[in-house]
Amino acid sequence: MIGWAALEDVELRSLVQEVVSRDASAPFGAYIFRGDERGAELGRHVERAVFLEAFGNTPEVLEEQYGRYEPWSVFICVVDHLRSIPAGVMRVLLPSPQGFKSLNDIEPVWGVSAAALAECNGLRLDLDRTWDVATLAIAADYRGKAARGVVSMGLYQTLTLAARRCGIEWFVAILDMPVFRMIRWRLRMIFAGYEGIAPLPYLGSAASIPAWCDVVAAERHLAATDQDLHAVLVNGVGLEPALRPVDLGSADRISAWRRRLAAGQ
Amino acid sequence: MATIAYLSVGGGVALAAAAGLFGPWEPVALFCLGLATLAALVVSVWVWRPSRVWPWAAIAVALALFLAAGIARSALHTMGDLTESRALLPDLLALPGYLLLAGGLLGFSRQGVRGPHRQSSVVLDGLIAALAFAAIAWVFAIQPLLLRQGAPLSVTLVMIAYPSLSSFMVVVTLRIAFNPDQEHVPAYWFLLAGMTFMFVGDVAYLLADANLAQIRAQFLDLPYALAYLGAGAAAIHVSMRKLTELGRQRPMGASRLRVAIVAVALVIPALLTLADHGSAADRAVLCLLMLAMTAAAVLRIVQALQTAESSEARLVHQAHHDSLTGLPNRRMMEQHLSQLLDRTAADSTSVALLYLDLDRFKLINDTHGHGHGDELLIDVAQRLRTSVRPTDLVSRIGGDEFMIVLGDVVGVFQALDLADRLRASLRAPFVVRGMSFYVSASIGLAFASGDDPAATTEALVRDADTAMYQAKDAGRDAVAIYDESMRARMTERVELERDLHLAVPLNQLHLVYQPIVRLPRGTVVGLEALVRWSHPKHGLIMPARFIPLAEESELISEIGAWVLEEAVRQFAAWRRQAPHMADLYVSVNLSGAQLHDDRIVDRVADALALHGLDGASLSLELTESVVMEDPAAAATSLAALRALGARIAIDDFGAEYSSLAYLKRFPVTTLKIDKSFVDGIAAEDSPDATLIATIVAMARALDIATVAEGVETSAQAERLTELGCDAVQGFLFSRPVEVDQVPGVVASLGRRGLRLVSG
Repeated sequence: MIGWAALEDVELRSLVQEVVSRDASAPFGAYIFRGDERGAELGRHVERAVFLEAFGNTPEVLEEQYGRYEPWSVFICVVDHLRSIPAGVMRVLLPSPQGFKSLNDIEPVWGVSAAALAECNGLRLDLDRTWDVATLAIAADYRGKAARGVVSMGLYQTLTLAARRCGIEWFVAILDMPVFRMIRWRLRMIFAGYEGIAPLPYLGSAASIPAWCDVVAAERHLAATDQDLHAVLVNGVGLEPALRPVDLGSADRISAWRRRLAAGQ
Repeated sequence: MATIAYLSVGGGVALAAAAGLFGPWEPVALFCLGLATLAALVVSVWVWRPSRVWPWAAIAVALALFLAAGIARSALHTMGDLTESRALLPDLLALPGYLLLAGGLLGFSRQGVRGPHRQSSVVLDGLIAALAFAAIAWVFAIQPLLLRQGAPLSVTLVMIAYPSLSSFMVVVTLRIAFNPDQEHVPAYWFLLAGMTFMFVGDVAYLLADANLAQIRAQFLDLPYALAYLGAGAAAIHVSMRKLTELGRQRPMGASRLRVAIVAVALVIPALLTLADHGSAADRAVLCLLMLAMTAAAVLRIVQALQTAESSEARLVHQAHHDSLTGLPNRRMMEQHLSQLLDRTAADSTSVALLYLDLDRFKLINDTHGHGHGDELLIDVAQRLRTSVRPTDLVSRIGGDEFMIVLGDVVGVFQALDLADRLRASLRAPFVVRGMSFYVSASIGLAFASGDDPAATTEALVRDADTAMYQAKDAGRDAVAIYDESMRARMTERVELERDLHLAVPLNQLHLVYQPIVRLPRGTVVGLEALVRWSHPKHGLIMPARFIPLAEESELISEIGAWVLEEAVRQFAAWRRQAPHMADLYVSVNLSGAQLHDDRIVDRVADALALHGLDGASLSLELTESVVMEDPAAAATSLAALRALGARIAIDDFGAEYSSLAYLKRFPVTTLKIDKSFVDGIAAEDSPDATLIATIVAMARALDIATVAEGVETSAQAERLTELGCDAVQGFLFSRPVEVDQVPGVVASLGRRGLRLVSG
């Protein structure tokens, strides 16, 4: 079992000190860790705490649900530099023989295959250029207060910048309805639900919905509708005083790692 | 063009009459009239551009066919020829013209009768009129023609077809008269006249053609000439556009015209029976026509009864439901609550009533208009409806107020959970017409257990109402559970609200000032003006208690204007009297009502000019929610205020929307960090420290100063200094002090730095 045990506070802080940038001057920093890197534990730590609190998902449930996708999991983390703790995480699943959880789970819950749903909605998903935003979690201390915008926006920014770097064209996800509503509002509707299906209970959430994002179209949409958000999400500019942007070299390493995995090395 | 229509009718009538009376040129005159009508129709369609062109195009083609048929008829001399050798070419041209004409007229009259019931009633009324016409045609045209022996069947059928088809045209045109949704404009009456003349012409022509009557050719063509004129005038008149448009919806009542036409139609067969002396078979035909009319009339009565029934059901529904949201209204809520209370008395269960009032909703209506407000209410109703149990009743009792009746409640905590769920359901922003709106609600909860004999509908509503006001007083976006002590507080609240109207005129308000000091030295940079109310009975009342009342009762603008004027006046006086205060600024809180008042910029400019102050001497503080109520309007007002030189501060930053991104959109000069972040900042590992560091970092990048509010300890002040906060305000340095103490306190802080001053 990989990293489902809770981290002690001291361990956590020590890990943060180990993996964060030495020249971190901003209050927060954005990082990407491969699933097999030590820094990924920071992401799992937040994921564990938030999913237990919000949906009652125990570590065992998380293992059952995400265990088979672990080898292809990448963790985008926003870290509180001042406190040396992770503030938010996004687990992204790379293309793999296991497929994407957010597509695989559609048929058992909504009764229609992801392929049929995509076809009905006129989507031509290129699965080799797709990322699955499998989880999104913000630690309790950083929700509902002023930094909420920075932590979640830091996650979205890192996702879009890394995706561009890796040539990704689609995001898929299954989102809890309040999160879906909030993301659509904050990101100017760039995530959309599929026509023809309604929100249903999913993994402890009372109502969740499968969602997708056409990355290239979203960039065009943002350029036309919200220059500020476009600057943050596409150009990576605007959050620097509060959040150290991700080192895009780590995104390159993710790409190389994925190629190696695909080649079976 | 309307005048031209009337002139053309008059001229045409004169021309037709002259041609009819003065003989040999009559066929040429009729042809020219037809040609002119066709041209007028084409030009009119091009000029008036009706919403649908095809009905007019069909009529135009029909006219062309009629003209061609007329020429053919004249050349082939078919009049009176009832032999098998009679040429049918004119009829082969004219009869398709009738079909096209019928299509065109249907194009007008089918233009939306709203609803199937209204459609069928129009059809039935038209059918009754059509049957009456058929009876007339039978007695005076068809029956005599059939009696004539020797005419071949083809000729007989062709001859009968004309009056039958033209009577159909009249009926189709009459459908418009029966349609309450279509305006009966002049063009329509021209058209009806034209169709009626055509019917008269066809009957007269049939009689003459069948040698049943001797009619001079000139008089035979006169009705056709008038029919052309009617069609032409209908096309020329500006109101022709209305023929293809729906008018405003009118009640499907019994219009006098419709009743008169249907009544006449129903009487006609009886009169014809008296006049008719035909065979038994002929009387049988008339009898069948009468039966058909009776059946149509019975169907019409049945339908009228059904309409009355459904209208009654609709009225009952309307009487019990809110027309905007479709939710049950107050009356239905009270009936439901009354039934539940009766049941709880019997089975000892409990009932809870939630009184939910949206916070600051009036501002949305005032700033964006009722269209936005109404759409928002519909969305709110939808969220509320989907957040309760299927057995609960959500009702709208007016404006932005909703009541939710919860039956079979286990305990007050279950009701409280539901109230919290309702508040949470409103938290995500509402997107109305592309704009995001934030809505919160204050909820009053009243609870009644089955063994409470005093629990009545009226009492529960009153208690929930009282509790709702307590939730408002507690700062909004809250739930308050009714208890007996609230009644007294409610009474006091009503008294306070009444007394507040006199507070400004009776000089009961006064200002106190709290220094804002720069870190790390503690020198004073500004003074925040805070209002106090010296109530003659209740003593000193703090703004947290009376400002919500002022906002509810719209006194906030008057009080705000007084505060602004008084603070500027007093600050100008200090500047003149105390040189050490020359570099300070005075900070005044601005309410949403003031910010959205069109006169705010003039008022601020006037106040500064009157007391000889520059804009930089004044800071205007607004909360995030006030700015976000109408971001576009706020940006405009704030830009104008900033252009005066005034500083713009966001008060209680971080407590509400917490979006740093929007700061770029407003000319903000200062962020006042909410006290709730400062409270725990001195503790080790406080997340608030990172939050404040984030706010400070972003603010600096945007060249915005930061002021931390509610600083009470040296540890807090030191931590804020480490985090880069520019200035602070709080009891550590000074409580808000009275006017006469201000110069001394400012001087004292300037000399001694960090020092607690008691007010």
